[in-house]
Amino acid sequence: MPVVTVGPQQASDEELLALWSRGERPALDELFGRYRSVAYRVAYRLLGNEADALDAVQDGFIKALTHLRNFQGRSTFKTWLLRVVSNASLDLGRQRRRREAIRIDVLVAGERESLEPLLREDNPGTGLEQADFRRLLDAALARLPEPQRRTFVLHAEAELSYREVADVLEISIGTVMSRLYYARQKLRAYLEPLVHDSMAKNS
Amino acid sequence: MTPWQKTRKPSPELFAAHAAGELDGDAALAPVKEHVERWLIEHPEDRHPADASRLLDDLWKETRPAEPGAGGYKAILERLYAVPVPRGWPLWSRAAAWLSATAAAVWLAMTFWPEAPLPVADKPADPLPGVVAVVPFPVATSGEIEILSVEGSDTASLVIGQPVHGPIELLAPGEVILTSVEPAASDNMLPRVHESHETPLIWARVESEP
Repeated sequence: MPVVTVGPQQASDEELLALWSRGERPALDELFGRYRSVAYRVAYRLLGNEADALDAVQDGFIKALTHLRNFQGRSTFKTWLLRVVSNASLDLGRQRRRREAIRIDVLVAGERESLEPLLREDNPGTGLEQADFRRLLDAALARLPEPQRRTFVLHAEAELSYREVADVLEISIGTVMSRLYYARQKLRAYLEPLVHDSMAKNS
Repeated sequence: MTPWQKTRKPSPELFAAHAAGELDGDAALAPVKEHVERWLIEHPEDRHPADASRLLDDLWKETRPAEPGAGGYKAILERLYAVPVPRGWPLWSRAAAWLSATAAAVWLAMTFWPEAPLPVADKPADPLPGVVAVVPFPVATSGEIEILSVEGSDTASLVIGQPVHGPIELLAPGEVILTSVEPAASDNMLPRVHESHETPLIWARVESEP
């Protein structure tokens, strides 16, 4: 067991876990504080709303702590936690069928027309407000196959390197590159015309 | 990289990864980066447009999720306080890691250790007294199984397709030349390519081959 001679803020993740295993709550506070935000953002991108994202973060942290024996230090705690949280998010998403609901609302026949109400004209810069951007991105992300969506979110939102994403998903770096490339292509192909059209209308 | 790869045009994925700076700082990717950069010097027309990802990047930053309300994290932390510490952790996890590493080493040794040729029996040996001989039976036919998804980590170990019949040969990597890799028509994904210079390949001879 590691010997900790520094405060929780300076301790490594492994040291914090060891402290927590001895019943020291501040260690858990520190560990949760370090990763709650990135875990929440990843879950939010995969689920699309605050309530579900918080549920996924809670599920993820609980699973990560109760299954600590599966964490054997071969990856960092952060990448391992994000793997568990993204798994929890996707499980939750499947259960609640959020994506299907978005597809029904937005993406079925006449996708472009159904998105027009999102391209509002009350923003002189782009015709879009942040909430509209988010709904556009949500809809675009929902179009991606699940492996591409997860890979893209882990890279873009959690700012994991290719190697870290490969570790999280247990895939090769080449597969990470491939998934990111096609995810970006699909997102751009979907988003660019909508945004450019709207900007042209407002210019 | 093999000689044929050094003369081959890098894939669009590699151009995009290079443009995003993701080939930097990783020793394993250094030869790939060098290859891409050499190619771009000779073929500047293949340079990834600098603004190709700008809109998407801007949208992504613009919509970064705001932190949840103060009560959200607090409620989760309260739940986490109640999570029991796994028994025996972290000693248990270290023992498990050691055991799994040992088991993997033993498995590798047993798999690849050169074996003495087995004696050829004229007829199958009788089962030991009291042991009932079990005849293998088919669990399912190919039409009864539908694979819904395969995790990336399993693609190297799970063989999908019809079972191999007939003679099987082992080929050294140098005896096989990979000429191209195309994305799958179904999902546009590139298949994983193992470029080991040591692992032999299993090759099932088809009937039309000599």
